[in-house]
Amino acid sequence: MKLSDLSESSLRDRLAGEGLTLRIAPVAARIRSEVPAVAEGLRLHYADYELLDGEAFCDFHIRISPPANLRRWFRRQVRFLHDGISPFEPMPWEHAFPVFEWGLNWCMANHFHQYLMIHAAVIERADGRAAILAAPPGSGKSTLCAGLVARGWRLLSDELALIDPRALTLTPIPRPISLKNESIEVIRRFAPAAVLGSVSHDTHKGAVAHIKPPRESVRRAAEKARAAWIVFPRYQAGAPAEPKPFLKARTVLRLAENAFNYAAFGETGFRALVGLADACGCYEFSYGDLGEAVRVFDALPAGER
Amino acid sequence: MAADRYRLVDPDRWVLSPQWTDESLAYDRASADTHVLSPIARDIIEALRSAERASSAQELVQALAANVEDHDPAALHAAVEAMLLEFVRLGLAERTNP
Amino acid sequence: MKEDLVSAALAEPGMLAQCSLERWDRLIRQGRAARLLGRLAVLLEQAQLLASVPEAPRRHLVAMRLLADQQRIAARREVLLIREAIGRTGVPVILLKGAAYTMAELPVAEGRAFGDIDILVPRVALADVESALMLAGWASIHRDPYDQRYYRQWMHEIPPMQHLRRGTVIDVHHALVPPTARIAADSDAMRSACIPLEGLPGLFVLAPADMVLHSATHLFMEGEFDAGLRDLADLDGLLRHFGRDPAFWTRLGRRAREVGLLRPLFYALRYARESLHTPIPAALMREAEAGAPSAALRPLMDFCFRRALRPKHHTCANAWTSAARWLLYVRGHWLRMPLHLLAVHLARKAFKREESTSSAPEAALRR
Repeated sequence: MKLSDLSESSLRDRLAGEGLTLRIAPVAARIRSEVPAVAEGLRLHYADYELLDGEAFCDFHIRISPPANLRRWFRRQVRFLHDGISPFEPMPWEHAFPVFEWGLNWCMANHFHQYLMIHAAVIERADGRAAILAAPPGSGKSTLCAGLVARGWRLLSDELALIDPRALTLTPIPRPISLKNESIEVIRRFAPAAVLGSVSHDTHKGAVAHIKPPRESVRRAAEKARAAWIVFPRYQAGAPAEPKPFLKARTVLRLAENAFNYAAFGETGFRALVGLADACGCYEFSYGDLGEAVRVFDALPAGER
Repeated sequence: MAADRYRLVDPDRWVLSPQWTDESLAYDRASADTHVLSPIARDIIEALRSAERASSAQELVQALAANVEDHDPAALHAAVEAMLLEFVRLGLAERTNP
Repeated sequence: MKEDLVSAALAEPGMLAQCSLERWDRLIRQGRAARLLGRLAVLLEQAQLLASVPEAPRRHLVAMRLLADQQRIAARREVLLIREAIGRTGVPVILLKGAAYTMAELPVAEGRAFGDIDILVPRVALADVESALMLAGWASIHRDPYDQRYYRQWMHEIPPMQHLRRGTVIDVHHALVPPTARIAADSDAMRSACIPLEGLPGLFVLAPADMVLHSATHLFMEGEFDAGLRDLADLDGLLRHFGRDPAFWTRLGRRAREVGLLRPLFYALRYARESLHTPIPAALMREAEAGAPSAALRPLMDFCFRRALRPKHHTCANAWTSAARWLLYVRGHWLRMPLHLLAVHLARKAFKREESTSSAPEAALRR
């Protein structure tokens, strides 16, 4: 049974009551919230996700609710709670859905210790080759990711690459793609068919909106992928879309910089990143036009080392 | 300097990446630091690691000369000596009596 | 429903064979709150039961075990770097708690979640040690003058120091037990009995009986129980390991009397046996009775400790649990400071904000 099989009122009631459990691969997440924006956001973005009725074991126990103080009624706020713990400060009521998404990111980043975790988008071309787009926030990585996904690439993740340190495979965690500020308009124009949720204004990141992940990407969440390219993207107005080969040694260091737990893995982490860089085409990539960027990616050579 | 012999302080400490063009990497198990190696640094570490006993600068130059085309012998020798001094300074290698 | 599943599982890992997924859900959550999932993973593996744990909870156990292993390797490296930094001063360093368990390669270090590194140095050398650490890149965390004074005067340590580049934290103690404690202990005797670590001149750990007594004192005579069950599990691990030598138990009783720590030993043995089924010889239990609180006080202490030593999770707590914790917190400070200062300190703590969590989700992510 999918989330979309629930009626709107049913969804709201369950969320506000005993909660509902979703398979957000590869985890089972139990979610409770009396905040309408969360129900709306889930209904739109997680429509294709499997409902786990009566699931006895949940990996995450999530609540999004107003704090137990005056901010319950005055300049209303919401808090993200994972099993009773609030990892960050309360946020405005209107931003409840982005809060849910950020909180879920936090849960994942604090959960998958058996994987090397890198701040990166991961997408897979139709020919079964995946690209890791590693970059700090604000580089245009999510916009590029959204553009490629809109043109048929499979979405594995827009935020967090999960790398098996020995097998070097990539584990998918497909979720709504988050866009900020100008990218929202860029994607609206580039992919009018993409399903965009409502825009939250004045968050600490500016204006934020999410794109519903393609049904196919959600359906294939159990299929791991192999990386063929490691790309460091950077949006630059007016720049021609050009992949520039990047030295493998520098690629390892740069990936390490973008990783959450490289240091924790010690030697295993070093060998993993070296193995990845060795097996992949490594590039720096500036782009100014999204269409051009997608064409370049579609034409990236397979099997280059 | 010419008569000095060198060896790695602790050969097991280093995990090396493949030799890619231009640069490679060395991971230091003791400090968890990752170092970038130029081709000549890489060649010297590998030569020191595989040598049965401590090597002199001249022996290293000979080992490297096999890999380097069209080199200027004096320049190569100077580069090797400079690199050895740097390794000693960083605590990666030590001078030893044969 | 309000069962402490973590203690039950640690005491008898075999009981997990019949565990429903619903109970696993509560166990994993309680275990995470108690920071004992790594230890549970190790015990299950040793009992060859890990492979038969259902996949969903098993992933959590494996992940936390891996994290614990990573932390242990990092802690080892950190201890060596600390030794390098302080080595120049020639000051002998006694490692305490987790750092000691790791460097002495005790089984209790496996799967154990690590935090700060605790070291003990002579009080007279404190200034030198602090300078040496600062030179090597550590800086004091608490800049609030009240906290600074509180640490230096009433705690037996200087405020924690954090390494500017690595972010690791070191707690430098100068006394084994709080100097103003109402329970006077002969910590000099314990310090002089310390054992050098092989191949690492300058580093020491406490002798086995002293290690147990120090752990017991830290748990039962101070007021912090956030890691209560974890500390009790440490005691259980130490007792089981050292207790393989029958002579250890006799030594432990005698030492506790020698150094004046019979009271914490009484509590340690009582609750370790009750919650974690630590096998303790009857003779020692009888001996430790001499350290028991008065008959009038005993039910109250049982009430408090039994609740405070549970995982800090709502599925195994009730209204009494917070009362119990608060009572023990006050008692912990009463043991440490004069009454007229206690009220001031407690009042201040009540109004002070918690250590800040990040305001931006991304920063929380990066930690």
